[in-house]
Amino acid sequence: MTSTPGDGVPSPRVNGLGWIAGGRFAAERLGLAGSFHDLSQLRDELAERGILPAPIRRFAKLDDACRMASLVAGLALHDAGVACGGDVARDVAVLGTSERGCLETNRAFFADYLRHERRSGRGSLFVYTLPSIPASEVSMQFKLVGPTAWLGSADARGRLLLDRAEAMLRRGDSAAVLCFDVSESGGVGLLLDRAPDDPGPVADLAQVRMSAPSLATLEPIVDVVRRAFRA
Amino acid sequence: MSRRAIAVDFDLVSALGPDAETTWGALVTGQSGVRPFARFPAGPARPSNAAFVDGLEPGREDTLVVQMLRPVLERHRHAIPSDAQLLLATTNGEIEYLERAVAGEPASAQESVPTVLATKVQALVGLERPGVVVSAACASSTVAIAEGAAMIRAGEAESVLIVACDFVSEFVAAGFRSLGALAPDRARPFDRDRRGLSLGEAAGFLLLMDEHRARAEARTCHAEIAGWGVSSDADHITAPSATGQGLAAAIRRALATASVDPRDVGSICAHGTGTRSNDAMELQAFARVFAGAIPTYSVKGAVGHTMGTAGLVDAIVAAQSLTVGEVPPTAGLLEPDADAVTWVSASPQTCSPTVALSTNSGFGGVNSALVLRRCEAPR
Repeated sequence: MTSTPGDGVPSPRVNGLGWIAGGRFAAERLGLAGSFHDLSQLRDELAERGILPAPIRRFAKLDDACRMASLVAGLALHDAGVACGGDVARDVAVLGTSERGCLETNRAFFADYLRHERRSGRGSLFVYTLPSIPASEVSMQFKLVGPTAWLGSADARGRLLLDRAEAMLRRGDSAAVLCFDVSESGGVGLLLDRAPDDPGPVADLAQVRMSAPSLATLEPIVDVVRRAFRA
Repeated sequence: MSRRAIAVDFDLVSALGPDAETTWGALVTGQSGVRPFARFPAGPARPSNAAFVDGLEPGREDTLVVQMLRPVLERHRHAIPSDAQLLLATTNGEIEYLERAVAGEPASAQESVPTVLATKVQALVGLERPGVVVSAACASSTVAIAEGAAMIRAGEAESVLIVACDFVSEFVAAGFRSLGALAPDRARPFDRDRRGLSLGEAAGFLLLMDEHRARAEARTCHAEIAGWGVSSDADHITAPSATGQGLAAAIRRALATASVDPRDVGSICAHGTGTRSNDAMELQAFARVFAGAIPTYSVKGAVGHTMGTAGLVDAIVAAQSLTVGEVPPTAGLLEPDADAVTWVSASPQTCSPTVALSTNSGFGGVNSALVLRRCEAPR
């Protein structure tokens, strides 16, 4: 169980963790794991197995960052047992980060524009040229209506994300915060909340952070949370 | 202990002038900075008009956003404490690095990543701690101000420096053109015949400080950031929710965190881009929250849509409006849309509200609202 500070409100905890790396994926709290060849195949497989809380629509039209963010977010939400999607709006904030923002999509959009001799850009590419769009895409796919933003830091973006998510939970900005850190080849998604009476395994965020002091990215947190879930 | 977040200093450069005071003076007299635009090669993507800042030159050592930021921040550097937490709000930052690199010119696209700009701003101001980039589309700076105020109220920081910047790039113009979002002439927010937005550029800062420290340092109180709310439509990637529910939720949250009754809101600085869908959505949201019309205005017919800087510009103007007791006109407005009649005006309105609301929305369905409270007495 998570610790309870003096005000009687439970401390923030990690209630779900999903990751994708090196052709493998996992949902750590549930102990689900597997391998895949490409993200489209993974999306189909997760949908068939009922692992995604909602189908990821327009998957082929999304840029790489949005695909990865949607998949790790779906894994984390499923891992935490959060029912969402469809018409049911959930008060969950979404905070995303990445090393390079939307650099690759920016490059693709402008190269396409120059290829067309500066006549016109492609709107379907332009809409993904904002760092915050993967977070918004996650909000749309899973009907999460809390605050969304992309946070970046040249210092330690993993620590930054956890700092801000924890602060949002303590302030009551939303009932839960979904955090993700993605690249072209992988990503980590975490569902943080303060729900008090869940019988399943959870990881106290403060203890997780003490065990993973170096948080340049969210990746170092995976092993720590896995151990906490298994304890 | 809950602490109040006080705006103790601000400034900006816009198409209306090199500082916040000049910008305000032009706004209240109904001037517009939207004018013929020729910064990058002519072509279908280049808008005929934009609200651009005088004197910027592509190709200098400083990028265009740094050309805007440097004089503003250097003027106020003495007033910015080195322990302030920097929150940088931008959508595209120094995108010209990427434009040049993709065009085959000697430049590194990696330099366009906004965290690189945050490091530059940290050095420019002389801050001790690394900056954090807050990006939430065209609500970026409102979200950054909200986060900064929340940090102060929670005792996480004593002072927070919100810096925002975006410029009219070929990249952005080509994108908005591809979406059919640009006005053929100029933006006319809330007008019956509005036909799109005018791109604009601006850069500036807002320094927030814990009220106790502000008092101890004898700082000027320009306004209190009393409340904030952020929400997501979770609906569509570019179009705002037609119902206005998402923005209404953000406004209600902002009022709640400020402990302000909707009846106490005296003016609204709306996002008011001049697109049919945005302005209609905002009016729907306002009607959901407020029992009757409130003096409402948009600055985007004057300073253009400054993207990630829009919320900062709006918050500064809202603070100035509270101080002066005057609501600026909506430049570009000729005949209000049916839903906007009694809300907006092409003329300045004299009123003395103690509370103002500022709202912004952006791609991805992000909505944000700030409640500003007038300072009761000089501090």
